[in-house]
Amino acid sequence: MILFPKLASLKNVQWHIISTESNHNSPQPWSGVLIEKISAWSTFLLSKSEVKRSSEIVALAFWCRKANLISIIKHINKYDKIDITKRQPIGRVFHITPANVDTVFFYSLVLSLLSGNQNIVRVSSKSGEITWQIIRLFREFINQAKNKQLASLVSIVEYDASNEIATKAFSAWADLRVVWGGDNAIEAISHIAPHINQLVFPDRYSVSLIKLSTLENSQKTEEMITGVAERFITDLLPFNQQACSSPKTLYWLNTDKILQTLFWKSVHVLLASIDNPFEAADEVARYVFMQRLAIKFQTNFECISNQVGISNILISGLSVDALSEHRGHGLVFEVEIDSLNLLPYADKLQTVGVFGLNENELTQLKIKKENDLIKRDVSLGKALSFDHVWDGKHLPFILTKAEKESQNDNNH
Amino acid sequence: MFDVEHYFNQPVYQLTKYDKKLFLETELLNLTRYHQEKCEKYANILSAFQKQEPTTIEEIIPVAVQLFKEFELKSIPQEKIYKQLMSSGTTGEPSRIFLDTETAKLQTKILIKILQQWLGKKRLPLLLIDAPNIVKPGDSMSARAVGLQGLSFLGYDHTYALDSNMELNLPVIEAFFTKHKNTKILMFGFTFMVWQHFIQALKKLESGKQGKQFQLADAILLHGGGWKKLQNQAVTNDIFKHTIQQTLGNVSVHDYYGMVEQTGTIYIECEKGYLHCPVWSDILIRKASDLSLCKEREQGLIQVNSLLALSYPGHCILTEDIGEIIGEDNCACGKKGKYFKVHGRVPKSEIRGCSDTFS
Repeated sequence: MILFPKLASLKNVQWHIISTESNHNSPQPWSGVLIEKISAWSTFLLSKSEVKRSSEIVALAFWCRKANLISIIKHINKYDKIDITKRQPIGRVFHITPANVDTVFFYSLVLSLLSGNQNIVRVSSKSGEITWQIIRLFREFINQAKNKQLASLVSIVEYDASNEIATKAFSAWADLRVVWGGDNAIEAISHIAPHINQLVFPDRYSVSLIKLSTLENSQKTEEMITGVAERFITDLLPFNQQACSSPKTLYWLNTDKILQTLFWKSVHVLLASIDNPFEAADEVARYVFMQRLAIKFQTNFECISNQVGISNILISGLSVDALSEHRGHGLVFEVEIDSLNLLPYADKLQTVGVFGLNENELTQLKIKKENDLIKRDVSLGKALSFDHVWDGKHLPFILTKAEKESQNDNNH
Repeated sequence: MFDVEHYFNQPVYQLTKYDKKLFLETELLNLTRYHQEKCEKYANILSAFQKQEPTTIEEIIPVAVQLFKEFELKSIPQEKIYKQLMSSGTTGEPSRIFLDTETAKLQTKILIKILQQWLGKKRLPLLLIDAPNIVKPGDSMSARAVGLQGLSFLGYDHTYALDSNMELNLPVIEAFFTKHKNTKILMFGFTFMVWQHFIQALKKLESGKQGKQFQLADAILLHGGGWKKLQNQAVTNDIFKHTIQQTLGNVSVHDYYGMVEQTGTIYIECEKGYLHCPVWSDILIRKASDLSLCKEREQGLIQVNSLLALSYPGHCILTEDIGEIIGEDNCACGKKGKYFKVHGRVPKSEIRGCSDTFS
């Protein structure tokens, strides 16, 4: 028996997964049974050989491990002084993930599942291969008899953005709407179907902040730089550099030119040893973008170098507006700074991936974060690791609600 | 400032490498300085990339063709705009090209001069493989319409082979072929349309009761617009030509390459199967990775250079088409200049970032 016959009869909506009725009670947020199910999903994923070929899905599977989920509960307990397991599900959640970075939608879904909510996820037909792969795997997983409870909580739909009737119907169904996908998407969706209770993820950009200094001998320096280069491309390459937390610009804090050159040499060597994740189309897109910047912002490119697969460009006077138009494609801006005050602070600045800062500088950065000047600071190489607090929003908290005011109300 | 007469009097396919470079280089460098003065947006592009003035053709920064879709790039004041051309791209914004009277005239004159090399000076009866409602009122014209218009100067008895529903207009075609059975006939159309709406439609009739096959004595077909849709159907240039000759008789078939951003200088396929650069334009092939120049027979992005972009900074354009230069001055067909092949378009990379539109 499907759960929502009225929604199921909507025209031009393809149901990749449709929830079935279950005789289970609505589960308690972050309860043992939910954690067991999600960690079983993790085990299921890691048992698949096809998954091992996709670092994005492996990352998702690792995130869903029991140990990580329990550490999140503890973290929330310790830092937010909330027992998340004592809260209530928010109810029905409609997630909109317009052609998004392939796995992000699933973190949003998993957190909502852990909160015990009923979910409908809308995926775009423009989604990448990884999205379809995850959906296929998830369908296989919940079709197993022992996972019927999860099956009752998830539907995944695909429909064209022009199908406003569907957007309205799903929005009306939901107690909370989650919109991933930037300013344009948020505006378009809010225009079609305004929703009083929605969680949105607008446009963001992210940067790397690196400070290199020479170590006691040249061999140690080189080894250190190789490590930094590795961590940098870990942040740079996934999702075609198009995720909101992918670094678009590298800020060199008081770093000697010679060390910068060594760094790029190292990046070059590393990139030469892997498949180029960027295609000719990305290379074309870089020129188009640079010329667009030149026209719109009079940006001046001081030095353009082309590595295997990526281009890095030293520029001066990079405006925040210019930076927010960056769309990835393997293009890295470099800016030399001598003070943390020169980072591109703006509402749109999300993640700063950091390497090599001293105590004093780290403290300065912490103050910037406390003052809401940046949303997230992580060590270099962790920019794309998913955090339960995303873009400054405490997802487990938002996806649940306070304990019912009075249990007695239920006795009427 | 441009010696249009001097431009016009050059022989179309006779200058060899050194002489052509001499002619083109001076003019293209002149155009670069001119547009830099007249078009602020173009000047911004140059100053962003260029550390010093270019001294050779290869050093001129080519404008990415996409920018003509995003910005109004023109070197003339608003009141001098005589005609605005639009590309007929199927997706996204069209390119907008602004012509003054001088540029429009020059482009048409050169286009005719090039075509005459292939068609002869005598006007020919013209069968257009298209629907009659292509040219719409207003001053904006699609590339398709421009192509048709340019060619219409060279033909008479303009006849449309398709009706407004893109269906074969058989009585009209038959009457046209009968009427002109003793003269050379000119046919023109877009590659895909010629194949799908003309040849395939005729072949369908062939197998039916109204079976139709023609035995033209002498005809020439000029077609362009790209092979993408035909490649999907595994139709090669050879199959294309062979099927046309099977269906229509003695037709010499020529593909052409060109774009609304550089109207006038079209590249026509010779009998050996290669596209030829006329004297007023030239191509460079660049590596997508760093825009360095490719060697002969190495595939890369096609840059088109043309002297006919006077009213807008479109004299050096980096296209999103992939091509390769086969050689220069030594094509077996006898024409001088570079000859090349086009291998389709760089596949569009989809923007699927966190910040995307709802789609």
